[in-house]
Amino acid sequence: MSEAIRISNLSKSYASLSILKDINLTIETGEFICIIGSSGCGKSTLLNLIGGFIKSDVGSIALQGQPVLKPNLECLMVFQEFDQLFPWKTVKGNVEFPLKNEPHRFPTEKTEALSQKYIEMVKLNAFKDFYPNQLSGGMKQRTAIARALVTTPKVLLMDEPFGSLDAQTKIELHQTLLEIWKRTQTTIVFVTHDIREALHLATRIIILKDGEIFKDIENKEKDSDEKMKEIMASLRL
Amino acid sequence: MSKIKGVFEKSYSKYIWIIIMLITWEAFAKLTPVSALVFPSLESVWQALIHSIVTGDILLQMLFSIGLIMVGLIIGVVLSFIMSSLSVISPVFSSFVDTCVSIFHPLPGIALLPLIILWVGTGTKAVLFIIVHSVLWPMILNMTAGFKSIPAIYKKIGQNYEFDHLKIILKIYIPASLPYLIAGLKIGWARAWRATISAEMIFGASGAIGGIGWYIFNKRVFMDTPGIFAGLLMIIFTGILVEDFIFAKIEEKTVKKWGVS
Repeated sequence: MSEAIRISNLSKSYASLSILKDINLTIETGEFICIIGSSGCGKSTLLNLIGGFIKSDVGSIALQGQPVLKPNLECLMVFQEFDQLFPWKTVKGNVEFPLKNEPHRFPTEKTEALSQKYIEMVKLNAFKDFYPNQLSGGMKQRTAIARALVTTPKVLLMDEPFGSLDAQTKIELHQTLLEIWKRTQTTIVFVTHDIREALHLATRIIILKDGEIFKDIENKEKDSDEKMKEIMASLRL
Repeated sequence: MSKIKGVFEKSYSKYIWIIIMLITWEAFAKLTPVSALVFPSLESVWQALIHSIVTGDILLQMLFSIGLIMVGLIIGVVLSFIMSSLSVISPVFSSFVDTCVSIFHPLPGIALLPLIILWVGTGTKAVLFIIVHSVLWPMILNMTAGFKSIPAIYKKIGQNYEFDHLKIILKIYIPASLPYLIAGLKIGWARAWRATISAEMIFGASGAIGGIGWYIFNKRVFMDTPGIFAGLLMIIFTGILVEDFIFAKIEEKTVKKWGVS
């Protein structure tokens, strides 16, 4: 596997408050990484730094060897908020949005074929002409995932995307996301505070604590109770 | 009782109220000893209106005023778009625009008349100047309020797709703030009418025929009260037409359909 993201000696502070301290992390291509930790531990800050939305104080982030200096198309973010969809566009319109603008601007047939492929992937074919105000929270998040994936980014950043969903919808979306990940082999960095969610989805789990990487856990066997106890103990310490 | 209540909750209730007002008007004109010169009957107003339509005066003058308003609106909207967009990009320009709005928004266009006469004379340009002044500031207020109301993640999405500032404004900010822009246009349209009528009444016939303001002013000079009411009815009729068949349709096809109104 090749290296997708390399984070070196990364630190970030807001005013005098240190949020992230000397983070070193390498993420391989095709990995599904979950970053977990309690509120305020720096999970979302780390994700925003990887996405290039904020600048680090010290250290660097490289995406496939290239330094991340600003947000870019190779590293797309899916947010927790349901209102990340554009209300003036249908599901299809939202998914096609990045394809109709530079640098992609594909011909109409290719745009339609690609949007159709990803709409089917997130199981929204019957709702492709619906506007976001006609969709449930889960459907909105599915659309956001399709919109992010349609340009085939190298990395997908997900900031607690299922945090506001009910348990049943969450399970369905976990299934869909895993299917998509297996099919596209996109590197995913997924932030959550839900340990069970991390154990179900990730191939590797990073525990952030007080702005530092507290543990880096391989998660080969999914949904392990033993690991659940280990992570809970780590978070309590 | 609930049936009556239901009728007045419908979108057409406005027309029921208009009919009630017209009946009251006619009853007042016919059944009270009030002079027809002060309060003419609907019948005489209708005759004056038909006469003006047949002779072509009122329609041409309405078209002249609407033409001026449209030009003023377009200039006002373009200027407010440029100023609001620059405010989004530059905090320095934003502070400048805020200051301009604080100074000029409360200033009635009519108060500027002496200066406008000095600067651009009393012709069509002067009327346009007042219209643009009336439209620009409320439009900037609405546009910037719309831009500020946009969720922060929209900007992040635009950045993620590597859009430049102009593209973020055109592709994301404008459609996202459409409810505010439509509200701004409505206010701009209403204020443009007020400005036009006032300016036309003061400046007299700007252009070859003058506008509806000049029409009403002339009717007043000749004590033609039904003619004055005919002019007012034309303005009201145009206002309702634009509100119900242009703005309402735009809202129906956009913000209402998107569930963001």
